Amino acid sequence: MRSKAEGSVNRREFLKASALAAGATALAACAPVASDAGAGAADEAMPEQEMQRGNLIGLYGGPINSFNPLTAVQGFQAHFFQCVLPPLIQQNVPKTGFVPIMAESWEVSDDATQYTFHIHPDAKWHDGTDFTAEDVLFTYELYLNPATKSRQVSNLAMVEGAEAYSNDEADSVSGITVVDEKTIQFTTAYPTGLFLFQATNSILPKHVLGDVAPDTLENQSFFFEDPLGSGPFRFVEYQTDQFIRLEANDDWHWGAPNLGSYIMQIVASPDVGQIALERGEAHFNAWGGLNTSSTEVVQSFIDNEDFKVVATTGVVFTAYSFNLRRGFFADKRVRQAWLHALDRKKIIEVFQGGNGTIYNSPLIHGWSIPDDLNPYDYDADLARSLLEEAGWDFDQEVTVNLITLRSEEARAQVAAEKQMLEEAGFKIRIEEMDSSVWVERFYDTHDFDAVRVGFGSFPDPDGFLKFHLTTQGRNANGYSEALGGDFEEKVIEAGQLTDQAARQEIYFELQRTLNDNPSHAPLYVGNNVWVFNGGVHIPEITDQGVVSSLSDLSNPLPAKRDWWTNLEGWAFDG
Amino acid sequence: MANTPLQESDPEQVELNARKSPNTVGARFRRHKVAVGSLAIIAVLGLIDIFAPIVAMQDPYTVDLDSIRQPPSADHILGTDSAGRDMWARMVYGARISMSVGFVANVISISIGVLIGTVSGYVGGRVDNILMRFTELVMNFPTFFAILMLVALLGPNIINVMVVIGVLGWEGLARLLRAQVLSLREQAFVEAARCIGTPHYRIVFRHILPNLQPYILVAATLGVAGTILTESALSFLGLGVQIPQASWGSMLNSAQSLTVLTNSPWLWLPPGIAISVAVLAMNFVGDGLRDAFDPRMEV
Repeated sequence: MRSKAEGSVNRREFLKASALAAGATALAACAPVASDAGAGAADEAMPEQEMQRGNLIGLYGGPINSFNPLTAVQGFQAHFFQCVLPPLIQQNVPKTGFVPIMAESWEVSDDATQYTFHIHPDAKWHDGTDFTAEDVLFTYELYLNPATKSRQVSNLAMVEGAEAYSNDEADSVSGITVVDEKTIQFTTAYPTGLFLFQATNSILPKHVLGDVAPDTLENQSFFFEDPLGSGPFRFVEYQTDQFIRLEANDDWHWGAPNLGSYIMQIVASPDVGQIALERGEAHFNAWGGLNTSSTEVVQSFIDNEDFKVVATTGVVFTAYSFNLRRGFFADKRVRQAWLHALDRKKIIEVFQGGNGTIYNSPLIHGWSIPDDLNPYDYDADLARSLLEEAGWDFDQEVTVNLITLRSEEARAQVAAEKQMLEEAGFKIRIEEMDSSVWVERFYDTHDFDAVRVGFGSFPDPDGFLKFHLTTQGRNANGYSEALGGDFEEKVIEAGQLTDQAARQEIYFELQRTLNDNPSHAPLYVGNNVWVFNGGVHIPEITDQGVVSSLSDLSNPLPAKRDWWTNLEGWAFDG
Repeated sequence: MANTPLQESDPEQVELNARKSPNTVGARFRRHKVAVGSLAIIAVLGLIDIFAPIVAMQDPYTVDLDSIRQPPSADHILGTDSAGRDMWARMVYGARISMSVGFVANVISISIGVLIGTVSGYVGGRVDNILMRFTELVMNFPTFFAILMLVALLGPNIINVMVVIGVLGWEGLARLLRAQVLSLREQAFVEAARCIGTPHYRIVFRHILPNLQPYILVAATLGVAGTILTESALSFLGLGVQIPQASWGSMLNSAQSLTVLTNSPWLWLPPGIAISVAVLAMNFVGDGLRDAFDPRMEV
């Protein structure tokens, strides 16, 4: 009896473990079925005319958090907002200016404090209601209200009266004025060249959400089930964690989209996405959904005539970030040695399938990079002699904190980097941790030697500098204090200048400082790799942009606009 | 009713007697051929663990980016992994990790299980009640997810994995032992010991614990197998060993990629087979021990 009981506990445990191991397989096996069902259902429901206009299916590598622009952080959400809940204006690519979306035009006063937006006269919500300046005012008040859990409060602090409103000391924001039904004016507290970035936030419908108390807003069904938008595509349905179905808005004020509908298909694993693409059940990888860091995967699509592979400049920048509060990092030669120790070309070639661009400072905006930066070529001997010059203690162990890596591939890459650093004389200990613990150590308690992580992009160098490297933001590295001098003043000054040439001059100077006295050891920026079904036509992508071999991946297409900002221009004849 | 010469000459009876005697635990275990074979496998694994640096032939951590994912060859008998490290060396060092997690976690869980089971059964009353309700509480945790969560919170490294698996894996044994102690403490020899004034601790250590030994041994072998699987599952999910170490589960992790699964079987077949063999062997030894300790299981 008892022995049997023991045996059965053991078996249960066995089952549990094997069920878990099989879990991934099971998910992979189920998901294509789900994708079949999703796409199938959408096909049946579609009128014939729409079929002719094309029913495009994009792959998404995970579920969407919500349709709430106030709290949004995901790229998936950004796609959704571009299609359904667009902003007044949108940054173009390669990020040299802006294009109007809900606005028709805008003006900036000479002193760069007043920004007047003229809403497109034909702009309407999908229920036919006029899109007005009142909607814009309503939405920006929500962005400035901490009760909504808005992530934009600090970004919008430059607007006059914003802080008073956020702190509940005023009933309205003095710097936002409704001029007339189709005109809204923003006034900033000081001259700035950065306000237009804040006009790229989604606008919400006042006639739907106007009566909701701000603190209950985040739980509204609007943000989970039935969002009403104003964009080129209207929301039709969301099958939770399966797909979102959007239909063309033929009344879109810039002209009806070419596509009949767009389906955001959510897949459980990149392998499922790969199979869906190969079978023609999905037409491109929109946000994750395909393992584009695998050389084999990318190569198989390059070799397949039914697909076009395109590389565009990436935004995630993988780097080591040093804690300058640690005495052993005080000498800049130690950090320079770190950079020389890493054979970044080899790392990109072996682990990223050649897909990566090397940067030598943490500011990756092309226009802010002077061409005389030290390229830190791989040189282990130079690294070692720099350490010796700096009087480095070769027994000093440096702990590198990582957010737990789930793939053996990624772990192999880190092991290779560790070996390179150790060959130069560093003694490295890798410590993986949960992301919440990592975030606390890095941003809050500053209890780390170095971290290695992929940093997200900011629309302008100002964002990264303030957030990471000065006391204006989270100051994780303690950089501006360790460096002393006028580094922080320069950062602030550049943020307030409106003359782009003058800003560039200051950023060149800051870049040279960051290059010579590194706050980070940048590894690379992985370029985005897109795999399109041959039937997809995108105005911005010509045959010249199509990748014909893996080596092309390191020369990304200078994309004119991020693709999702112009989905209405796409066509599909699959 | 002594054996008569006539009965002894009966060939069937002779054979039966030969098979039955000597009727010791060791002899009964040896008759379980699969268990003996499994014990040999475990012994070999143990030797590999101890002599890993010699058996491995190469360093398991040396990265060679010029020879990644090479199929098996004379230089690398099991090929190389995604960082050009020798798979055989990693398998051997992985065995060290997997087996030591199995043993250490079990020592922890058995210690807790024996302590709680014995105290609960021997003391009885309110203490028993509290300890058993606590045991049931722990038993009702979905263990694997509790382990996942704790390892994620404490940080994935091998010590944490050992401790967490050990601390969450003692309930079955504790309940089993409590039941045995309950019946043992009513036995005449314990009664007698108590009557002559033997102190409690001595009764427990001299009279009760030795009688629990078979149960603990069986639980230990079966437990090690379960623990190896749990560690593999954790490492498979990326929550096991620290970079650059390897365990069999973390090596199996690379099979999560479709391309590796189809193009590079040498990356995941060896660790997969190793896990299966080690766990099967442990289970067979456990079965063999269980049968050997329980004479009623004979035939």
